[in-house]
Amino acid sequence: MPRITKKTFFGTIREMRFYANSIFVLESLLSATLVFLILYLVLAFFRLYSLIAVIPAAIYFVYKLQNKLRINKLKMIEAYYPELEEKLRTAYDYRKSNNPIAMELKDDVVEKFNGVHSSMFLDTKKIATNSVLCLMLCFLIIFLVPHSMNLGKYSFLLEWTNMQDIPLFKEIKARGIGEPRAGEGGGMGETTEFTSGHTGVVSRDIFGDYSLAELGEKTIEVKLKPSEYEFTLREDEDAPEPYRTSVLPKDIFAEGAETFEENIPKEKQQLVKNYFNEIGG
Amino acid sequence: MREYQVKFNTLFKELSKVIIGQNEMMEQILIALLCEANVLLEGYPGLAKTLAVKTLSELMELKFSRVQHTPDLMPSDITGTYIVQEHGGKRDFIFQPGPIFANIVLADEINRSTPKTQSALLEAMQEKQVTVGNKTFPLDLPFFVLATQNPIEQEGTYPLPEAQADRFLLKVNVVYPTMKEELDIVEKYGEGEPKVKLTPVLTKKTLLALQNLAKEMPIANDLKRMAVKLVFMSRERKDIIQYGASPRASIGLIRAAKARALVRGRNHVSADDIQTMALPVLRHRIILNFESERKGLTTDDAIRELLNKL
Repeated sequence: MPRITKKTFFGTIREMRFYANSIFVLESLLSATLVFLILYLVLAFFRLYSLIAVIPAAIYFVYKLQNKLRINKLKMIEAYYPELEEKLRTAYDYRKSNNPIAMELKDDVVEKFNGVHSSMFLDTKKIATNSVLCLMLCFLIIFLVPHSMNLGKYSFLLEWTNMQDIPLFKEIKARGIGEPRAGEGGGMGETTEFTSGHTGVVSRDIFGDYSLAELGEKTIEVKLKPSEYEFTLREDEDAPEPYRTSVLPKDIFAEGAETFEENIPKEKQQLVKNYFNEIGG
Repeated sequence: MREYQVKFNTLFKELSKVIIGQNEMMEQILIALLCEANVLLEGYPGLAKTLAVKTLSELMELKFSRVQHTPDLMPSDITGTYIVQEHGGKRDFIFQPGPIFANIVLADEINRSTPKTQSALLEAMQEKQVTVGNKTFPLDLPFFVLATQNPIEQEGTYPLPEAQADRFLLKVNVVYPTMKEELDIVEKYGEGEPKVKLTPVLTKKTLLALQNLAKEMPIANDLKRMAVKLVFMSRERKDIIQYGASPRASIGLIRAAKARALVRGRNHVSADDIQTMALPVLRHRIILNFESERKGLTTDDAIRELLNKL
């Protein structure tokens, strides 16, 4: 970090203020980035609109910067450099005075300022800590967000507490906020039901908005069935009737298989059984 | 500022040829001189108060006069009066200036004279002029009054009222010398008055210039606030102080702190200057309440309490 090098008192104070303010902006930005990453992680993990984290981060940045700019920089320097104690703020209060003692004091302060480093405004420990935390959060975001939680699974809590009628929660449920999107895995071994009677939540991400399909003057009802790649057996059920009838042509049908049995007397059935066992090995 | 510090150091060195010890008293008298203000010296007899002031006036080439206050002292004994003078068969009234027409006036045991006489001196202190009859006579600058008070044998005396004491910038408590200092005094003066040749260090012109310089000494705004807060607190602390100091004390404290910074060769006032000068500036301007007096507290104790809370 550079030393303060100006030769006049006003120039010295201006240079000092410039370096101090630059450092404070950097520190505030880093703190705000940390806040943004934390909020982003939380929002993305619960499948909420994560870019909203910019707003509180921006507010925090402004608040932090204001607090930092209010710090008395002269007292900070005096605490760091005892030889400037009381002299610096006295010289600053008399910066516009031309009396001989005030002039001598200002010259004295400028001379002693040559030893002042602008890095004294830098809180290296805090910056290092914040930087490491930001890095860790970035990695956390990368690894945890794909395994985000399905808030819809916990909607029974709202019913238990009779909060399902609150307009905010109704709106959240209607928009499907926090629930898995169509085409995505449950993430925790859950299925998404894709029977025609229950399409679950259809995400508009890849399918776009609902619109009418028209062929000539006719309106065609088109349903795009989301594909699923994993399922659990316990929730498996028969394909619905329309699915079976629509996929397979009419002349192909299945009927139950038939088996034919020989009328082997009861006393000789064991012998036949042993024979086939011997053949099978 | 270094050269002024050298001058002051030389002054103290010359003073130490005559006065042994009493460094704090000498510094505070010098501070009052630089502030164009007056000092009240309180101390037991025989502590070189008169000798110190007389020596100081010699080192600064200032005219010195001493007035011993007694109960029968009249105002005209201080200010001067018209006397009839016969010259060539004609009689004229000629004004005979009193001892007040000096640069440094030592008013010894001021509390022994009547309030009327005290007020004549105090008027001159304030106005730097004397009115006799219908004529006004300006006093030669620089003009200082150093008044002394004896803290014992106060029977039959007229203690300075608070309003009058307020006109003195500092009240200096003159203390006894230490064992070593007293041995040195005995060594020096045990065989009679030694012949000491003093070299004047400051002239009248230099002193006037230093007085202007002391006014211009820079003081930080937060230190000014500190000084004012201290005086303000003396008015608010009704649990120990019945009557606090006036705004004149705030002005006096800042001026005294500036002068101290100049004497110490600095180019700015420090918090230490304010804290050190708080005692001599405030001790004669506050009146303790009954409870504090009952506990045996002094005004110095009360001021230290305020400084601790600052």
